[in-house]
Amino acid sequence: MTTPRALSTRRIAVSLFLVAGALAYVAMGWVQRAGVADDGSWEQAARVVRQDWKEGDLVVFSPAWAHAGAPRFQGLRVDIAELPDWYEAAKHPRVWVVATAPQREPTPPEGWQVISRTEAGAVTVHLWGPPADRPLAWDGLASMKDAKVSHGDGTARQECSTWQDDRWHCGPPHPWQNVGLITRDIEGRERTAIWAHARDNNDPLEIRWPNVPAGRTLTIHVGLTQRAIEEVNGTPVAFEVRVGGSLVVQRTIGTNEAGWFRHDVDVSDRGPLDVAVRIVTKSNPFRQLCFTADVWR
Amino acid sequence: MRVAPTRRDAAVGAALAVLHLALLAATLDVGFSRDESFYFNAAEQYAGWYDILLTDPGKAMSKESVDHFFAYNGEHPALPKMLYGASWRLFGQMHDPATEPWSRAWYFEGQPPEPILGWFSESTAMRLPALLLASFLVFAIYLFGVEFLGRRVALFAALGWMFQPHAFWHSHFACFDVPVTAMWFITAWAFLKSLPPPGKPRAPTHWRWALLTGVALGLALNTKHNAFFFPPLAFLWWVGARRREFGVSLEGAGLRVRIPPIPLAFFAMLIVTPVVYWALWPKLWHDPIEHLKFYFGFHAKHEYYWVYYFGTLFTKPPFPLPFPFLMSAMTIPGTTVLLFAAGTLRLFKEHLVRTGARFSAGLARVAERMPVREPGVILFVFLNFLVPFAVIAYPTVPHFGGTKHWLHGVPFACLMAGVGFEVLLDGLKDVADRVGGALRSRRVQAAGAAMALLLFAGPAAYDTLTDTADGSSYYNAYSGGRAAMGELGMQREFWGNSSYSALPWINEVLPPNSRVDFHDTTWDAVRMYWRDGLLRRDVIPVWDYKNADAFLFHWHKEFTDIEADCRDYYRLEVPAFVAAPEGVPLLDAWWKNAAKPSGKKP
Repeated sequence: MTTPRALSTRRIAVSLFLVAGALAYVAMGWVQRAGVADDGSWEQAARVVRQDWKEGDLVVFSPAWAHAGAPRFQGLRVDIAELPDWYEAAKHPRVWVVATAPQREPTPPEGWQVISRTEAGAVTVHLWGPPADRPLAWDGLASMKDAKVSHGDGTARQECSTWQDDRWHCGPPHPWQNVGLITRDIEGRERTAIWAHARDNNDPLEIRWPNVPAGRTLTIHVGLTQRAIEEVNGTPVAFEVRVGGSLVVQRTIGTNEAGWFRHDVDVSDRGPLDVAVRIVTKSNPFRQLCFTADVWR
Repeated sequence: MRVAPTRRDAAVGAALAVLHLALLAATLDVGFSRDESFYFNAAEQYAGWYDILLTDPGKAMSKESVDHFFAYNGEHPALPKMLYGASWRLFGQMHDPATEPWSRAWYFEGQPPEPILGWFSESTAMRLPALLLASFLVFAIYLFGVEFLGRRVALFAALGWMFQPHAFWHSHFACFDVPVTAMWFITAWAFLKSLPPPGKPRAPTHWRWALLTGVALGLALNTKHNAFFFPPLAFLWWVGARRREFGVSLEGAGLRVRIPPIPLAFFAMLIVTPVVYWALWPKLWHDPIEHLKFYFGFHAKHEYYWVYYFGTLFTKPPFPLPFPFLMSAMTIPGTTVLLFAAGTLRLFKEHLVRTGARFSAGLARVAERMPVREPGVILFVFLNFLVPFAVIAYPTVPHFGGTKHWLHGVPFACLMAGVGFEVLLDGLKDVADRVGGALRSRRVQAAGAAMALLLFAGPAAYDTLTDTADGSSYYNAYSGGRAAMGELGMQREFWGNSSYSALPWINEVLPPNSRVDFHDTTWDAVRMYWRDGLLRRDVIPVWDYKNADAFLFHWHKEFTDIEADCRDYYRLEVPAFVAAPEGVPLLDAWWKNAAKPSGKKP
């Protein structure tokens, strides 16, 4: 049977645990608040970046969502999306990582170089360089106007030759049944990609670049927008990529399947490339498919 | 056991309530949320009815008058808005369109009434009844605690409720959530007081409290529909707490059914409550069935609000079952959560020991050393905590994203945290007794208890009284602080009030006659910002960033596409202004005239 003294010991242990918990809480709160960057720190960090800024540089924040000081970086290229995208950042020759608590000392992605690290009050400014041996040869996003867009197969094939508002339309301009650049929430962050809303009744949509510069790797990212995966309507979307007529990527994306799916295709032995993307679905409500295509040397 | 509160208890409770009111009054710099702005509008419209009531009561009661003045916002009962409207009429400093012709557009039908006392700004006048009710709730929590659980429990429970950033923030609003929390609590308190302690006979005072329960429930139902869950809860509790008094036995040729005395309050709920409900909701006077059909239909088929929770945007059922429990654990100050956990474990242990004591002499001896509590009270407190949470936790019920929809369960959680405070003090007393010497003196122990109170209530008070304008974006330090919103992918502001933080920037930076897309902030909120002199009157509100000079993006996960579209349209990459308490962006202000990104060295 539990004795009064044992009960008392238990009560003492519980109360000391509570006191320790409260003290830890006070300490955690103090540390968290002390880590918040003030105006002076942001100002100092912006000065560090501007002093050594080079054309083509990019500013990102660490943590990516912590862009409270973003207004100090007016006029620069800045990514303020909620999550980092190191793949897209690697298209820039240098990346400034403006870091605050709780991620003030972020680790560079694999293969990236640390160029410098500067303290600026409660902010640390890191300058990183992406892998130097992997320059970008071609970016589908920047080559949208060179694309040949069509729909239908065989004799029913029709060119989508209306270029309006930086997008290809099949016939008269359409608010969403078109192909062009867009920024949309895909797999956790806003991503700039090629909007290629699937057509209805298995009518294939094709986006083709006939003369893509040669390189080592063709990298494709594809996914449905956040709005698309929330929907209960529509059917899975078949996505294919052919290089020089050969099928190199084939994926079917489910109705509510979230993801920004990456495919790396070795194209090192091929000359100028003919890259064709094909998108098909049976029922197309909200089948907002987006993709990017890059060739890396 | 039940202890009648003394005058001193009432004085302590009143002092806490006055302190709460003073803290609320000192922190009125809270922007207008979407729902509050709708109720401002409704209160203003309903207030016009008082003029008719005073001059021609018969006409005021007519269907024509009711339909005219109470047409708006019929999906919620009228009582809170009638109170806000009355307070506004009495205390508000209205503008005079004769001297300020532009102010016509700020008022319903272009014509504000004549000010009567004109003591407060219009929003404060509207909010006053809610502030008073929120303060009375502190008084009620304290006295409930004293009567049923002891003074130490009562003190921490009252402070634990006062110092919660989310509840404190909601306490400012001319809305329904804290008022219905107060009305629910008062109903529960009156209900419990209407029951004689087990084994004691009914006294006239129990009749009075039963009657008051019926009235209080009528007022609660007239505040918000959450109160409909109280009667089934009370019934469930009665059956659970008195289960041993129910029985069926064979007697002669027939069956004999035994039931315990039925609480008088049940009869009051059946008779008095509907009368109060009907009498205080003008829309029920002439066509009650039709309006109730509309009312229940609206809430039964309520649209789903999107919920950002641990990095996933939930847009449709099933919503995450732990949502209300985890959100409260993350958004109530950590020291209160800690004591809640300790209190819950203590009460659970007490329950197990008392149950076991019926079968074991050893456990009976342990039970004797436990605090003496009135049978059923703990179950009552537990159910009043659990049911509001459980209703929202149900996966097909809209979860809304904020924490206000189960707020009426939180004062009871605070009472359980108060029990945790008692656990803490008992343990510290044991430490003092073991160490002996000066620590055994009553003065030293009282000082120790005061320090313990400071250690647990102090951080909660600090959390509550900092960044008061953005209380709905608070996460406790155990969760990582406000940074949890970004790090864990959680809901940020709730909803539409963050424009308030951008008003100084708008007033100082934007050129005259700038067009501003206020995004999630409503027209009714903008009108009140003008009326309170918080927004320059030349600013032109639009809800179309393409036709605006500036766009106030309220950070919600579901809206980020709109921000991206605006950024592309304005050809900008960074906002001109960011409202970010503790470094977490709640609002990005995009201004067309800001420097465009060039990529070149600026």
